[in-house]
Amino acid sequence: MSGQKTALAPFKYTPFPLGTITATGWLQDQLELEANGLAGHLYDFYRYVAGSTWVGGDWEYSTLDEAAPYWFNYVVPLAWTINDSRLKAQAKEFLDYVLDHQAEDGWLGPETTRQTRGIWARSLLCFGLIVSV
Amino acid sequence: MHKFTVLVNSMLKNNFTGLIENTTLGDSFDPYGFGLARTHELPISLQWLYENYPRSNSELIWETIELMFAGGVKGGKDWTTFFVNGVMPTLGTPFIKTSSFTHGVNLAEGVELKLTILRIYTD
Repeated sequence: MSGQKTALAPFKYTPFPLGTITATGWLQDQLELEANGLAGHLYDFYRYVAGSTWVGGDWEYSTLDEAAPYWFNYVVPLAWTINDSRLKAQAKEFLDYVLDHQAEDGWLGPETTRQTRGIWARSLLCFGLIVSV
Repeated sequence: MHKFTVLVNSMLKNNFTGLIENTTLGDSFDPYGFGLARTHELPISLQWLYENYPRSNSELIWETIELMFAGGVKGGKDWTTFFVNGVMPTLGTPFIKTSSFTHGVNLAEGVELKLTILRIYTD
């Protein structure tokens, strides 16, 4: 990596806002199957999402604290692409909780010590956040 | 997100806290270096913040992006050393040597990393 730019290189194409591109036919069927099936119901019962430390629960499978953020990262595009109000409400509820529980110093997530505060999983939170703003 | 970015900026300046584990201090947030192999992911969102809602934080946001990439390199996950003829594998399983660079998800991320970096460096 050599010289540094003084401004971000612009995207050649402007990304379509989430929800402006929708699916039809087989793809729409698959997205609806997901939304109505397991993927769209993890927030209702799955311990690593519904019971995640990210929303005040006790469950997480990795020191990366990635489980619920991974869910959030996919449920946002799913909810907005098929315009599913139930899933949108779940995503919003999750995000509201996380933002309401932002630490005094600005940390986002359940971790409270330097030893456990790994930055990476927040990138998944941000992915969902920036397209649902 | 701004408050969070300000915090991350200060953490990274403090010996890349939260990105590179300091085992003498008992850090245990990323024992396998996954975060180190995916340092471009936060910059993707930071670039969005920089372009859309910078407020008065433009310099700090930009610096945080740079720090994420610098941390990845310092932590031993410099993707520019992997996407090199002779280094990058040309054969798949079972000849693949397992590493952070050949881990499936990480490898896809590595390609994304180059694209993210391109926005702030001329090379």
